Amino acid sequence: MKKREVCISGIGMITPLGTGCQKFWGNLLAGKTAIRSTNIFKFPVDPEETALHMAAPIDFEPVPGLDDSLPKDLYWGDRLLCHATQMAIDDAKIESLPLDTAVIIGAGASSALNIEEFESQLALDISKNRNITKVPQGMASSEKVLANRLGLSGPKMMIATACSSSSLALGYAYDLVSTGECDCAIAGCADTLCQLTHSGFYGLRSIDPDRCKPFDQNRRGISIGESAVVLILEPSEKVRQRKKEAYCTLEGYAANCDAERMTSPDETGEVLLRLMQKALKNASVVPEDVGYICAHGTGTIVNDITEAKAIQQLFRLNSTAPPVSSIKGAVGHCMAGAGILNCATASLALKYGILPPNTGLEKQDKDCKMNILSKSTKTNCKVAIANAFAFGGNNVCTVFKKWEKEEHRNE
Amino acid sequence: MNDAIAITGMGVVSSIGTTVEAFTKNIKENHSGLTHLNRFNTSPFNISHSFEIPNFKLEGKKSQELLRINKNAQYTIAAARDALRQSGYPIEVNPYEVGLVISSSFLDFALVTKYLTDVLKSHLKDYRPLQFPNTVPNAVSAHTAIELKIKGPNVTVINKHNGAFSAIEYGINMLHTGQAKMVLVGGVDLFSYEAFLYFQQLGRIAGIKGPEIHIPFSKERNGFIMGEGCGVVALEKTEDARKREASIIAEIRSTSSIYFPCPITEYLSSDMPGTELIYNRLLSKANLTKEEVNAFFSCANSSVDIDAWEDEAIFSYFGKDLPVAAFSSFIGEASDASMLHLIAACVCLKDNFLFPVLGYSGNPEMRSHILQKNKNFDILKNVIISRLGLGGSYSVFLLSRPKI
Repeated sequence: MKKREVCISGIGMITPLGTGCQKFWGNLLAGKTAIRSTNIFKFPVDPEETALHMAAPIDFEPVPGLDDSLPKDLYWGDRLLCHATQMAIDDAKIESLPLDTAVIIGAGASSALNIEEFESQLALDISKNRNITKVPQGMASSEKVLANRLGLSGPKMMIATACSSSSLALGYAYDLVSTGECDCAIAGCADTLCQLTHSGFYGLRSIDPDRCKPFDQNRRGISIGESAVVLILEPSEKVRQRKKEAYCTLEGYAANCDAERMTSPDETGEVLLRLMQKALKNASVVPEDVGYICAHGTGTIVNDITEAKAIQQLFRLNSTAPPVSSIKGAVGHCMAGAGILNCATASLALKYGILPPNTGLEKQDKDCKMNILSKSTKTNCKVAIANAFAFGGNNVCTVFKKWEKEEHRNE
Repeated sequence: MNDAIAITGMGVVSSIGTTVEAFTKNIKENHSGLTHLNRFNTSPFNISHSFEIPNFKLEGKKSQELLRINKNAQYTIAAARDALRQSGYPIEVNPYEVGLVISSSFLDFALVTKYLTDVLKSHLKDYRPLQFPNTVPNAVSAHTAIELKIKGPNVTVINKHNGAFSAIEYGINMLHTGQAKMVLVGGVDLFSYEAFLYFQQLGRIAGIKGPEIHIPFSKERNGFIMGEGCGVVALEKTEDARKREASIIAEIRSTSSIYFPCPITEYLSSDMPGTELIYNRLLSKANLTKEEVNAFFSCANSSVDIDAWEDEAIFSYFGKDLPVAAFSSFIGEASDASMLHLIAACVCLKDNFLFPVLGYSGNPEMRSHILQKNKNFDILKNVIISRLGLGGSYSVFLLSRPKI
């Protein structure tokens, strides 16, 4: 099948490290972390149980002009998504989106906050024998909210693969643009902190009572973060026509499944190895081309070792092995939004020629033998990959290439 | 679409049968799955019927194991297992070549609410963290992949009421882009109190504004009765299926979807484009004329607006002679389990017959040719099947009898 070259022409982001690419990127490169003790979950205060309270919340004030135009009862996650989308459209400098623009959104628990509120209310309604409160009607409808707001008539869909949802949403959006189904796609995800997710990981003893430290010898689990990230995908040719520089091109992706257990990966690393191999093949690049790996790196013992095993097998550990970093020590694990946040990070790294550090790393785990970046590092790498793995063994790897400036294209 | 897609396997869990054989027999004998509502108490709403599945048990699993697998995942595993078996696809040779796409827009809503209620009420003192993985939207597809050892791309698609058809389009994309050689595509929905409340509050449930009946296109219709179930089909490129000499049940010759701005709790909108566009595109992709279409499987679900709208759309484009059926009269409005509509259409193609709209005895307001009893054909070749989603999407597929 003949495919068009697809690029990322705009990024909108609301992250625990700040709103907008510049703030996020500056703070990430500076090695800052947004993980802290918070009372956002309203769980009982127990000083001994720090894992109950450690997280990476965003600090976002809605932009008044835009926010006033949104429905008052819009979910918090969808509200964030609308803001991030507008940032991405502005960033791409698109005057008016094509009518057939696709909206493909990774499904997260952003509506869980509303469901939580509903559950509390429902329990009260039943106990007091009164009329049942309104069921949250907008749940799992983020793509429709966005498409309605922007008046779009392109394909719209939500994709759910837990923590790799947004990477796969980006992959499907890429398919739609590259095959000519549409001329533009909005791919994104908003996943916000909520009791459902936090209680789940807390109960599974997967939350680091301190801050998460991916690939560190003393890591003890994840820290949960939240984010809203949106990428605009267009055929490169269209972007060149309007004399705009894109962040990078999206060359391909692959997805597969461990099919082993719900909450832990295939520990041999074979499934992840095959995943990255297929992604590189789909993107027509070889391992030697890869200059940066934005790892999934959650900070749990088994996940990090498994990812490291797969990276070691594919790239070998020598002086030419690509640098690796996980950003979760800085922003936490943003759940369904984690994948596309990694993709945005890889895009920014290619655009600015700097690789972000593996924040929180103090002593590298000897079982995670990789070229892990302890500080931000200049690079001239041309190809970067971003990993995202999830509950149920749903894995996605995405491949990006540096954007070729017009004057260098024929060199 | 460049290449036709072959359906090489089917599996069902429905209120009219949990094997394709029982499902087929009940369709031919015009037995509906309507039953007394037993799943939860709806007496405050004066509603007493549903199309729920009684006493389903996933075979081959111990009771203790079943506690860890959501009910909707159990439906899906059973249906997917049957579809895979019927396809004869040698998954063990390369499980990475097999993909799985499931639509499950309403999740296991009851399980999510139970989990959350326990967390909130007990302040984290008395809840079951091991149920947490079952609250994630992709729990069904994950359980199914684990059970059947499917290692290719695994996706859960959400598009309320049109999720099953979106899943098929996603699955076809997987085949065309080379992500999978074979893909199991399913749609599942579990009847729950929370989902019932959702539609009751939208004013969509039959019995609120009139008699509690589910008869698409009828004069008395006033909403739907809810159902549940799961349908799974095995899809391959026709050329690949032929190469391995698989038995092809039907071919998806073309698909066409339109999307339009629409409130998230509505099906229809004034911004909706004309259906002529979508039918033209469907037939043109399949290289067929409208005269070559033998039947239309409508998405009518006993709603006042939806049924009237699609009757008019079909009549305006195809005229008054094209036979129209509505499978929801057998299984109720089963949301993403509407994959069962597609499987029912395959059953008809295979055995050259059409089922009627159960209970329908004519309505002067309807202008298309709505069937009131079974209709047999010498040969049923091409049929259209449709689905309308909440929040602005309408999809039509063209299914054909496979060429010998």
